[in-house]
Amino acid sequence: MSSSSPFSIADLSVHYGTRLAVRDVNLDIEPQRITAIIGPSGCGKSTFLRCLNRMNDLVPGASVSGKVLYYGEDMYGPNVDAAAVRHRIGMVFQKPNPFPKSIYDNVAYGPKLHGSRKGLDDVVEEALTRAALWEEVKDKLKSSGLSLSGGQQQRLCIARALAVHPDVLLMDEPCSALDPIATARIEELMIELRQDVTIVIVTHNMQQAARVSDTTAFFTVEVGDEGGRTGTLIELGETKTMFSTPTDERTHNYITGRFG
Amino acid sequence: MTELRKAFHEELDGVRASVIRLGAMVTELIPRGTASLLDADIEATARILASDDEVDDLSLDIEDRCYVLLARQQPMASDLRSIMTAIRLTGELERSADLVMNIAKATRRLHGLTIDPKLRGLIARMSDQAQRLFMSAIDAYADANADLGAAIDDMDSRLDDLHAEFIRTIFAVYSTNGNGAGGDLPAAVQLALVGRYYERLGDHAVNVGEHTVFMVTALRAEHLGAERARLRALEQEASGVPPSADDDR
Amino acid sequence: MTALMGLALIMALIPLIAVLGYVIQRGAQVVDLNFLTKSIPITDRTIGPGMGPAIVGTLVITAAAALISVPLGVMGAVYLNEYGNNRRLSRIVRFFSEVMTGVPSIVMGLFVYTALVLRTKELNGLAGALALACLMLPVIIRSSEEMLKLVPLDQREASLALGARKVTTIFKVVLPAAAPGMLSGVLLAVARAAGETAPLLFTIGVVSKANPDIFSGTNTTLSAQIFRNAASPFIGAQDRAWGAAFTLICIVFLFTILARLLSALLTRRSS
Repeated sequence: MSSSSPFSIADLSVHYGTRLAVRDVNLDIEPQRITAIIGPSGCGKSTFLRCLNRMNDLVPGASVSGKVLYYGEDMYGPNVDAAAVRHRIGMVFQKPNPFPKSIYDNVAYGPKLHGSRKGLDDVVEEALTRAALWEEVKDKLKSSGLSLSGGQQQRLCIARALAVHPDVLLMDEPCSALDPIATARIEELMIELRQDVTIVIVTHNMQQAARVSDTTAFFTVEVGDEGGRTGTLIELGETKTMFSTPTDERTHNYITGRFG
Repeated sequence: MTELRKAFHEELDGVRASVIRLGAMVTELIPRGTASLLDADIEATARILASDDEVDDLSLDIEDRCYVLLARQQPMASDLRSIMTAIRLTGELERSADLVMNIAKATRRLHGLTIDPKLRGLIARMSDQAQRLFMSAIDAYADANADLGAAIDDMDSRLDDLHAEFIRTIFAVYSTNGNGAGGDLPAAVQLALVGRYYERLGDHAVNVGEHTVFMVTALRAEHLGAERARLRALEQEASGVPPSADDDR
Repeated sequence: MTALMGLALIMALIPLIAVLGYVIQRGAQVVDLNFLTKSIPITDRTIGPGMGPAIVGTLVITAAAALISVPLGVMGAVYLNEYGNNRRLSRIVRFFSEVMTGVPSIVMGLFVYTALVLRTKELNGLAGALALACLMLPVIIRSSEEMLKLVPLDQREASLALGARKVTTIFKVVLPAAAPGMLSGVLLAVARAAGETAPLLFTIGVVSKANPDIFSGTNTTLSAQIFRNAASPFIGAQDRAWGAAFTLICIVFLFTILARLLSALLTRRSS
């Protein structure tokens, strides 16, 4: 795997206390592409994703070894500010979690954190437009974010994340709480966003990964001698190859539904 | 309501356009093949063989794209039928191009021989009819016109009649008992094969039409035959005749 | 079964209605503008208004107690919920906070008396406010912590994922989200404190003219006045006691309604 990509993960392992949750992951994230992470439940995909913007720091007892290199700098290095990392690498969560504030304030929250005071109206409009939500909410920006439907709330969360202009957007099963139409709209949105923002999405719906992603990474869970479950990366490849002629038998079995 | 799965539908349209292009390539190969045969033009034959490679290349590309679309996009209903039809049509068109290649190769084998004018006339008419059938079949696919697609079968009977006449004429021309030029058996066999190629071209055009009907209506011509077999089985049961070993079940 | 429950409900309501009814009946006729503004008569024998100084005292001392205990309590709850989480210090703080909710109010007053009043040799409103603050503090910590716990973790995660620091997240996301509930809890604690008597007995002394300065000079509150006047054999004093009781109940009632209104307003604004 060449490290020509700016976002490169080397020998990453995650421990929760003494339990090894994820082991020895090596992969490069291609810029301006959608990379999907699939695998059965418990295989550590969300844990891995949360390493990419240091959200695992919030879990008590979590420790990360290995390197996550972003533009050459290891984000787990000694002098790295986690908040600065998260400014450049945004995240959208499984359950839509807008703040109980107005739609405007939700989207403006991020830019205000980093000092902008002027031109917020434009920033908010741009973010909502990129998230394909502007037309639906432009007349009710002062109403609460919680008054929107589930799919709209998730797009609001995407707009909120986009408002700080991140390079990368991490999405942790963003559609699993949504109905099929809302899901399809967010998939369309992801394909449009890909031109400006690198996207990494964890999904338990492998058809979604097949439809939307350019690259797919398959994780699975290994059961150790004492019954400990550890996740690890099995195969990484172009999506159209992974889903038509996967190399590893475990990938093939998962994709054809023989196990999972 | 915004359109969803735009990328997928654009890809489907791309596949459809490629199949039409493949059909056009094959359709225009037919008169070229005939011309190379009737004009005994060896260079034209070589060019036709090169064109066949292009046909192979495009048909592989279309099949690959369909394969990936099936793997990645979970197409449903009419989208699924579209992709299945595209794969089938690619097969029919690719084999049709091979048939034209065979017609062209016959040029080499008949090299030096003069073909009887009656036979030449019939070859030209068979070629015309085959080309017309293909044009209609590809039009039917391009317009998703099930009626036109179903009609190709009737148009084909004209070609079958021409073929039958062609065989009779070969006998007339080459039999030692007739008034013909005398027994050149290899030439006669070669020409008979050429006639067969045109007739097979017609059959492939009919298949293209039938696949188009399936794409639009989800019905296949075989449904009628299957229905007939079922009815026969029911009648036999009703009339107490024990079913014979070779009846369909 | 339903009849039994209905009966129990009526039995529970009877003392409440009885208390209110009696106070209103005996106190309302005494209360008028004069009552609310005039100074307390020096001798119990006097008939007539007022309770002005006691009202001032109640408001001023309760406000001071709130000013001391609310910020401390809220910040304490923030520490326990956002930073503490199973550290030894927070477990100790939580334990003692629970213990403190059970300390009798008179013991609290006694504590402030020995710790402060005996040392400074001064009875003043501040001592009373401190005693009340000690009573309010554990309650505010408890209820604020509960409200903070109710704010879902994913709200904090959303803020942090945007590059906010923990402090910013607490002040811009968690506290605003918990505010309606916390405010409700705080105002209820204040309303209770307004009615406390025992801790004030040893700490504020008594006064007949209004004293808005809590730092110097003795003071008095409605609750203290009720205590003093109700036991008096003189009708005038007893009437003033009922009037004070009525006034106090009205003040507590107002606080409770205010708590509800503000809480509803804040909740409506955020959804």
